[in-house]
Amino acid sequence: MSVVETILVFVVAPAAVVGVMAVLIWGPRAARAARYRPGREWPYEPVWYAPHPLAVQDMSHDEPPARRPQLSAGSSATTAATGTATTAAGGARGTW
Amino acid sequence: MTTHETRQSVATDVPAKAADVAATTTGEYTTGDRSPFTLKQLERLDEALTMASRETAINFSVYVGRLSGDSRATAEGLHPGMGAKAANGVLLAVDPGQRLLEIVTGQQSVKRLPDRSCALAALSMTAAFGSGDLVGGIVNGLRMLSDQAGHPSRFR
Repeated sequence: MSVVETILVFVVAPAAVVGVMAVLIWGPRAARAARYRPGREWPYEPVWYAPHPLAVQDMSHDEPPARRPQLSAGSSATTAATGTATTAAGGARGTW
Repeated sequence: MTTHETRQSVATDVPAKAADVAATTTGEYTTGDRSPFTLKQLERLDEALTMASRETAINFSVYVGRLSGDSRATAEGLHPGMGAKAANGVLLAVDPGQRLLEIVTGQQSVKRLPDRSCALAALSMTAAFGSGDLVGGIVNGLRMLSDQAGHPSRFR
């Protein structure tokens, strides 16, 4: 066995095997988004998810038109009067 | 941003309208380095949001990001950003960094989702968040809230 063959068999081949296994083990984990861990920083930009616009509108057509205006007229009147003032009326909060 | 001068001292980096940030549901998924969720998670979120909104005719929306200063005031300041649907809207604002959750209901939606129902949903959501499952908590919370609100025609 020459020196080159020895190096190939005892250094390069094990290194290749270790490399393949490392990629198999840590590859998928690196490709995935980082898992959220409570207490850690949240480094991402704020995101705001809204439902598909049609999801809410579709429902309003199903309702009897006679009853509908009472609510919507009242709400739009208050929003128009108050302008950009708060629209919040209730809710809840939580910590973890 | 111009419509919220009152809270600009508290939160300058918080977007003023839902349109200012990436919306998942219009088909343009953004999963670059800046998206906190994977495509699969975004799909779950999208489905839960759309189904909850369709079943109840309430405009649910989810904000994930920093709620600086007074978190309640910041979340309530975000609420009008839903536009005309804000009165009939429910905002779930999650701040994973500060470990805070704020559920904000509008003047119409509060009639169908009283604070007690929201508190119950918040409890189940924070339980999931505590174990590190952000998307699962949000999806479960949306499901609980939409179950509570019920179908609109059955309600009125």
